[in-house]
Amino acid sequence: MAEFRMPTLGADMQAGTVVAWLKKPGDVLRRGDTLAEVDTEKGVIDVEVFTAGVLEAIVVPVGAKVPVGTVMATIRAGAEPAAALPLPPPRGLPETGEERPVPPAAPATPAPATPAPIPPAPIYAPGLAAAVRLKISPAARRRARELGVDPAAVTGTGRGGAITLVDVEQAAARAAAAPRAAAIAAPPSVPMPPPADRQERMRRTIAAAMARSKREIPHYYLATTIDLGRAMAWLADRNAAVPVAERLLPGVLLLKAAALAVREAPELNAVWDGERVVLRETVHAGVAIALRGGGLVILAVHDTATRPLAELMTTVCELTVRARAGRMKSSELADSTLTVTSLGDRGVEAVYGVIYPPQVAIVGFGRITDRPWVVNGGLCVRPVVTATLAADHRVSDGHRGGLFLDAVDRLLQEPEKL
Amino acid sequence: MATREEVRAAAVAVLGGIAPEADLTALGADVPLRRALDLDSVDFQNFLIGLTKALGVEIADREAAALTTLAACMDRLAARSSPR
Amino acid sequence: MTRITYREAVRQGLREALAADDRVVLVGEDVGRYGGAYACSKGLLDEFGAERVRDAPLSEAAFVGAGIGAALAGLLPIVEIMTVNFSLLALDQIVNNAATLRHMSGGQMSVPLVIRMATGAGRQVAAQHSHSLEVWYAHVPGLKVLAAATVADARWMLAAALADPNPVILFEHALLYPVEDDVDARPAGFDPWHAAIRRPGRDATIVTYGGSLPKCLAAAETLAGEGIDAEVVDLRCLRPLDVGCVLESVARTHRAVVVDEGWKTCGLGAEISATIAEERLYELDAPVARVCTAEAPIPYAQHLETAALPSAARIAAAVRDVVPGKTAAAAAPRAE
Repeated sequence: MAEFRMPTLGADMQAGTVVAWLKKPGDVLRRGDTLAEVDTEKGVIDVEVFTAGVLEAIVVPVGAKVPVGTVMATIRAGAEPAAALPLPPPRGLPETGEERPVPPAAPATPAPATPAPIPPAPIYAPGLAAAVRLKISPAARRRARELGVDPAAVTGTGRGGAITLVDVEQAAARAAAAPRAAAIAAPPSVPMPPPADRQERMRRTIAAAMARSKREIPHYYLATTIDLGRAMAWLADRNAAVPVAERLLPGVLLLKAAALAVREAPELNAVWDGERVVLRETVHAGVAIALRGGGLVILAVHDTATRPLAELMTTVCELTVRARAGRMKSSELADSTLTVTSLGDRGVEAVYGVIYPPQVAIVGFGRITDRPWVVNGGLCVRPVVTATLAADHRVSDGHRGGLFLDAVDRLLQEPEKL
Repeated sequence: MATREEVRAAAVAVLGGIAPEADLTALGADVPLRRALDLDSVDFQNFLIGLTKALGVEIADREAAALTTLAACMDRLAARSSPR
Repeated sequence: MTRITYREAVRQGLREALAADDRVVLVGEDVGRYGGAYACSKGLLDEFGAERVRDAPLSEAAFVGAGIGAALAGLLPIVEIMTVNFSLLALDQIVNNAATLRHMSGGQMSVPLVIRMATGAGRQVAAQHSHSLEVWYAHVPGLKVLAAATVADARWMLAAALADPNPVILFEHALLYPVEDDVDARPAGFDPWHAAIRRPGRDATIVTYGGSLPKCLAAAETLAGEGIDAEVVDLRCLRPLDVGCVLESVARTHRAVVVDEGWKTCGLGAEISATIAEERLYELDAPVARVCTAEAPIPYAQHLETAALPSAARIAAAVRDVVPGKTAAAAAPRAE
């Protein structure tokens, strides 16, 4: 039997509230089905399941707020009989959908009684080490309950960052001082905080992730200006011939070029697990999407390096709409391996990003703008873009980062091959 | 087929899906959409896709850049889809 | 009120016991003519005679056994063993006989015996004379175990121990003998079987007993200068343990540091920590910390011996570690 756990949807997430169950016990589950809706500071997330089988039992009721890693439901995998005996607790990490074999779907006829395949634990779940269990003293946990403080929103000052009594009491005092924040202190059974509150929580979440990044990650920064003359001409030709819905934006070329360039510096597509780097084989580029009214989310564009441009374009458009509507999927929030950020075609010339932990690099693209440019000794006007890289110096060095940006440049000179 | 008013209504409806927080009833016909509504390139692409679906027209890539205001949309798309 | 040493307090306690009841006898190596290895019985031979103050042959098993027999026969013997290390020679008598007979006889035979022994390190007398094995006895049902940490307790604990029908082990830390303090008349309701709060405080509870008490009080003084208000609990009675006092204190301070000159592994600190975790987990705001002696036989070399033992500095550091927020503020004044 598999356990469906509260996933970690980014390094900063510590708990989530179940808003709805979309399946009921006995329902057949396929890989990728949305099983539950979970409210987080990033919005209501569609949490997908990565084990095919039959939903056996729902453990966490609607309205309950539980820490990351909590078992929310149990799933009987394909060939398993209905559970008759208590099974040993799984040793696996929470579902992340990353490089995890899926047991076969339920066959029409009962399979011979072979032991159920135990899926191996994923290689790495982003942010897991930090987020599995809230580090809070027992006294502080009890006090938080008494005062109606959400421990997940409290910053700990005890040993190893543990949340202590003082932290909880100060948080309660702050909440009392700011009436709007009082909604946070509502008991966990209140299903949905108001949007203003979510925005505040998101701000705090971003603050925590970015402060951690700047505190822990020794960033180095590189920049290069890339001639996009060929890429823009190829794009104009291509777009002229196709209907609106099939047109590509330059940003998607940049996104794919960045994903492909990872081949030259694989250590940029990785996570830092606290002690060492863990390389990720597949590139799921995270695109930073600014939300209207403030805040941002980083959503994974799965398999960025291998999917055709048109498909990536559709995905980016769709992700943007859903992110802004507050409807995201757990895999999109959890899976990204390298962030690509662009402040858009009306934005600035260059962006020097802050790495999203536990990732180890962020690629930035500025506005595409016409500039005087020297080609073959002659001066001409070309569309250019400033590509930047902020990377973790614990993991990679400037030389490798430079090779990466150079590869981005080369790839963009042959847009037809992207 | 679509009148100017129908084009306007379709454009406002599509924009409403992209920028739900904005008060579109007050949006003047000559206001530059991208700046007023803080639309980025992906938003604008979604706007174009929504317009073509709603009106059943195709918008050429060269022409798309000209659809900067509601008035421009009405001028170009109502004319296009009229039976004339 | 008079100012006396811990050594003199023990002597006065012995003298009072011998004077108060003819059944009381003092037995041990060198307790008579020599006046006791730590001079606690000086002059008592002359005052009470060789019948009641008896020098024993160098066999702990023999003279502790004799004490058990005398107690069974109706006397109230006080047996002195030079150090707890040597008491291991009499472990069979103490654990298999003294502790069991009252229970095995259904209360028909009591062993109202008091065994005093010196304990502890810090005098450069090497491993075989320096260990703190109090917890070995605190482990055994049928015994009661007291540890006098103050001059007053050294003065008054003996009488209470003698009045108890169970065999009582009374520990005296050898470093405490020269300590001086004012001792008043016996306090009304003097009760050695319960812990005492030696210094009230709000921020953390330091739990200790015996020879570590002065170090804990010194640490608490240092911490007070840094704004950390530590409470110091003297257990006094190691069996039966007065967990109520510890738990009540932890419920107020939410943090506990246990200081024990014994070794950490399977020690008294483990017992206290586990009890706090069992009974007051939800009061804890930090993990329970333990400050114990290094896991080695006590070294002879002075610098190594000092390094092996709990010190006021180590105790203060452990308290700082469990008191949140105040640690950073404390760092500056300490960097002298």
